[in-house]
Amino acid sequence: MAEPLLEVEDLTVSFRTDDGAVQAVRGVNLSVQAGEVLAVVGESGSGKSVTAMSLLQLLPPTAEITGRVSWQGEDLLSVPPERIREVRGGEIAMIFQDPLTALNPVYRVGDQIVEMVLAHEKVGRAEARKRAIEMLDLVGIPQPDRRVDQYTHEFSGGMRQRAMIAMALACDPKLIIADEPTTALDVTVQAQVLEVLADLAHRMGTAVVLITHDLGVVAGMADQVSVMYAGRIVESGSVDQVFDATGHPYTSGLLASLPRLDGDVDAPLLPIPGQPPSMLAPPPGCAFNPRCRWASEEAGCFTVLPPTAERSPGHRSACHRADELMAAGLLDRLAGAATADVGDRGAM
Amino acid sequence: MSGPLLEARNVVKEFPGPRQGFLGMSRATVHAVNDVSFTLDRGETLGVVGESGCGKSTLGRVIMRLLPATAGQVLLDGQDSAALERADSRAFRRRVQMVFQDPYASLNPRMTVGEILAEPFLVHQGMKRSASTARVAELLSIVGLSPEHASRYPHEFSGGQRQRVGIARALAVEPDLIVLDEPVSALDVSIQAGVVNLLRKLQGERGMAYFFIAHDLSVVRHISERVAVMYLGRMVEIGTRDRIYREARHPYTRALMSAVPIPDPTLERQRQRIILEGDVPSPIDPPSGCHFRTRCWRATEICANEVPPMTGDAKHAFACHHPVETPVQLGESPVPA
Repeated sequence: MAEPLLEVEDLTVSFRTDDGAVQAVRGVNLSVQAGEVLAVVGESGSGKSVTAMSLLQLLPPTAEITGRVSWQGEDLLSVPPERIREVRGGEIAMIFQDPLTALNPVYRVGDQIVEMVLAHEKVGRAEARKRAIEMLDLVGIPQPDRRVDQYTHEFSGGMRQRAMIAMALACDPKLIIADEPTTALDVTVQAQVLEVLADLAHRMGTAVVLITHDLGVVAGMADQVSVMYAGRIVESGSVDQVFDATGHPYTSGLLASLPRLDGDVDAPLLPIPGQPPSMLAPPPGCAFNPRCRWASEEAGCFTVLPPTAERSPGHRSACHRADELMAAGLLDRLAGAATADVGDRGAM
Repeated sequence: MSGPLLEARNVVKEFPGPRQGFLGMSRATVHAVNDVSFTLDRGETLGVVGESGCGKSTLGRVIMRLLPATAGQVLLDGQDSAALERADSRAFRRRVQMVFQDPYASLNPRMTVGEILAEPFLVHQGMKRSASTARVAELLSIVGLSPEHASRYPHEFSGGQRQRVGIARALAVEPDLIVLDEPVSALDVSIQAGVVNLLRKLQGERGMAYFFIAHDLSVVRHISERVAVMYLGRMVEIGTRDRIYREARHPYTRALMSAVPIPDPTLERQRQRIILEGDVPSPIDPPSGCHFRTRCWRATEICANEVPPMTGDAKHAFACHHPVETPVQLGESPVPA
């Protein structure tokens, strides 16, 4: 396999607070190849957005970051600030969840794209403006030569998100980090925006790190998936491995709790009992143990941090009992319904 | 008592829009809900789906009488709800309750959960606070919380727990109907499933009807006997769950369903999506004829000239001049290539 474009090794992020250090990210490893879509999935508080923000050092000064973020061989955590500014927007672009806060309301949309091009490339203003129009056209904004001179309030939600994608693409980055890019959008608009993003990624060979909580979006967009829980990657692999040969009880629980358009409507959904742990004092052993129906004393779930192990080539998970549970088919998508005590399992 | 529990007849709700014209002397009108009619039986769940701005939440508020209708009627057991509320608003509220989307905003942060849940008993049943304790404990256990939770404040609960408190509060007066406005959309999926199951279980035990507003078609499918689809203020299709999810005829319903991602990579690779062009038009100046025509791949001249009437029966009705004939197949698109 070729040298990865981005490789994150043992990344930790903690925030100093009055109550002590919040360990938001606790030893994350990620690797993204050129032209690949990697989805990082997790629920609120899992550390997925903090991971994304730390890659480009967009976190407040209260954040303490350790580990290695290797960008084409260069460690972004130790380069000077000028170099980070070059990378940001130029080589790695970012798309945020809320385009209204990410775009400046008092500048024309086109001028914001132009500014971005001028900051990173030695081109004239006229050339940059031409590029801005081209980019707006590329993401499917109608009448781009007119829209380029409008303000963000004149754009609808879906168009703002496209404008942000246009801005991200303007300098032809090698990697786009998209943090919940469609969460604020309606489903028909989400479909439009995801299509634009997927199409561009494939056509221009841009790699995408897609941060999301939506497993449906992951199934449709991603090549590789990393599932995060309580600041750690608990499972990673190709989208087919993670969905069809699930190797961690948390992933399996997420899939079973999800209502599906094509699922059995009469079977109750299977919530994961309890709630995610506080990151001020995560539980010892496996952080998922208080909510895991397979957690056991003998396997060490309550005392020993589960190591990440390979389950099949390219498919890893961090669970003491993964091999045993996978062999028995207990983590498969439909196994939950057959074996679980159904009903309202007091999940809160 | 043989008729439906709830009936909406040609409900219209308009809001004053932004000022316009010379010196802002006139005002535009926002057509939020436009001529909507439907019925809801006792113990039944009607799921109402649609995207932002389609009027589903406004319709819920009109039913609750939190907003007066501009025109049309909402009947509760055959009686005009506006008249019922005027005559005795407490009696009306005992029958119709609401659960809100945001469990953080809809619970008073300065009251303990016990005080919040005692309120309905004090207001509606004239109970003394001391007498309500046992009822509060009972309510808490019904929604899967423990009686000890009564002394805590809302901020001490997680989102899913707070939504359970909101549900318990609605249950306190044993209503006939609960209007639920996006009750699970603020929750993580692992938590959302528990609340959906709880709602199903409570309905099975107590038999109240739900008017369940949501944008998530997968959640609605899991909880509803019947489903209504709204677009730009109008109801475009309504029917039993199976008819809607298997044989939806309105192009908008089909597009909506086709856009929902399914957590199955193999299926997703096969799917051909209907990607709608453009955005939802403004409810201040909706298109003539069929509101969906500006984004519809089947639209012809008649769609611009005539508002399509709702046709069909109690099991399935839709408002479209050119309905889709083929059954729903999640892997395929009805749009010709």
